[in-house]
Amino acid sequence: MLPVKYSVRNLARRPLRTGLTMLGIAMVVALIALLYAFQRGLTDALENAADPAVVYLVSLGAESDPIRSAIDRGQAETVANDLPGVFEDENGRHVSIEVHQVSSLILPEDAGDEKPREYTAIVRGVERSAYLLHEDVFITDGRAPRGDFEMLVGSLAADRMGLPQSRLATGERVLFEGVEWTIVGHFVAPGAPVEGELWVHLEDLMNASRRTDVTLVMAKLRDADQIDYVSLFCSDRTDLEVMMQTEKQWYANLLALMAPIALIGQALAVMVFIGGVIGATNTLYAAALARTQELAVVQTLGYQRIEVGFGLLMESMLLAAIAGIAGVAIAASVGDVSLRMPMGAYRFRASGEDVVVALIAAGLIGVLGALIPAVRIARMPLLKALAK
Amino acid sequence: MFKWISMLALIAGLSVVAACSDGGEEVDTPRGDTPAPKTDKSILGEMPEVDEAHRVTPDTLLESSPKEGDVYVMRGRISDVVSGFHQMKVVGKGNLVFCGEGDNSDDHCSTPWDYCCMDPDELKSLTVTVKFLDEAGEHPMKAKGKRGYRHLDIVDVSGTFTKGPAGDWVLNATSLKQVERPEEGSHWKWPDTVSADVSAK
Repeated sequence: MLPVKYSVRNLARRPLRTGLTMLGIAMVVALIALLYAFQRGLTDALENAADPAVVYLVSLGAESDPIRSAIDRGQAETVANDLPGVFEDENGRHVSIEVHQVSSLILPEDAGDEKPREYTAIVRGVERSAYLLHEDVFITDGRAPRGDFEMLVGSLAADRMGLPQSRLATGERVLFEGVEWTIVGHFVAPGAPVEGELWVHLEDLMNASRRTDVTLVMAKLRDADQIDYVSLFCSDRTDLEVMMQTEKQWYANLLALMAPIALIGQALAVMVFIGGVIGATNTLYAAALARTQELAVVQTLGYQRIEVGFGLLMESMLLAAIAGIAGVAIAASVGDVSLRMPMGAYRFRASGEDVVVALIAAGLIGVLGALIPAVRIARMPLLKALAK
Repeated sequence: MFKWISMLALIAGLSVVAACSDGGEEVDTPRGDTPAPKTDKSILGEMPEVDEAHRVTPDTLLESSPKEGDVYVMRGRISDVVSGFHQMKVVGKGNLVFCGEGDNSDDHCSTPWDYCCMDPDELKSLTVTVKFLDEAGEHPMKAKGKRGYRHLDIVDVSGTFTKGPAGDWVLNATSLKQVERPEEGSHWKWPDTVSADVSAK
């Protein structure tokens, strides 16, 4: 086998070419890491966050589009009181009646304009019991809204609406549904889409929106075995006209909405990878051709063709490994990025799993990129190579 | 070397014996799960003999109300199956097509049994709840393994009628017979409720 230091020295002999090739591979690896992180983060946020004992009751026919769900307020109260199998503790029944709606938010300073700029906000009207169910919600400053048109802001809400964080600071005011709301606090919900929402008191939202119906009733059951009894309740109580979805089904529906975007992400990752392989092949092929005579001399010294080809492969793998580490570092430097979703937002950041995938991609680029040049050199007749 | 050959032969022999002894009783295996018990035979059966006046479909109930206590045979299409219990919703067949059938063939809904292509109020008026009560007559029977029926099957169900909480009809059923099963659409997404019956032909 050709000594390793021969491969290392060859990389250093042409620093500009080596540097540019490394940069190209590093960018490919960084992109692959970020695209993979995007898709993994989406799945984690929507699928893996589901609690098997949590159910959502929506109006009949609204299972695929919860915004369309409308349950009469009185019927929602009946559901909340009569639903079987609900978990109870000293705080009461873990049932939450909620309104989910999309509203156009206006900043007070723009209210006087003829056409004020509107920001699309996901607003959730809740009661105190909601904080029992949404265990992933943590208030980081201020407090929950108590009424009087107060609002609790999710940590990704500003990003989602394209507003600076300072504009939604505690004490600031915003307008929607013709009412001025005061921000009284902020919350985080790591990994959950609700982080992009604005939470207000249920009655305030219903009054401001002049609505007499709610979107859903959310309930935490004693255990997942109670789900069949909830299903039976929905079938028996035809007067309530509700149907049940498990939280897993709920998030699966949201994920389905994002499926086209995830598919584009996958396609991009594959195209970027192929581009990286082609680029590396092109560069390494040119480099190998420029060294044809040198490599022929190496053969005359007693090294086999396969050993020479393997030496080229090692150079390529070494180059790709260094570039891969650089690419991973670039991806990691991107930090926390929040992305909008149809019903919220989620935080996306490259993690350990993404690093492994990216390094494997780098390794494959190194192997595949050197394959053609290595085979070419190994098959070239010695005399012809020496004459070049 | 001989020791290794005889070891390999022993392992191979044990494997063959284990494979042969897996024959046993055929069980119904739901998708990806452990083997399930046999179908609940207690609800599947032949229909009782009734006269034409006692043969109904959910839509005919709109025209004339059934008599309390009389045994009827109702034919309809299953639109919903309750998870874990022998209880379902049956809709009137008549000229009622599900989403994606007949003139609706352009509809590629993945859950055609929800009849979302239909007016909700009309659908509600054509829907009957069917429940198979347990021996105590209070709660629906629990369903285990294969049910023998699934969404969109046309079935005959026999039993007596009562009124539900919304003034709708509820059939307290005693037996069910599958009449027809539509060709499965490749884009359908079956709910977990009937996973054991999905591949049944």
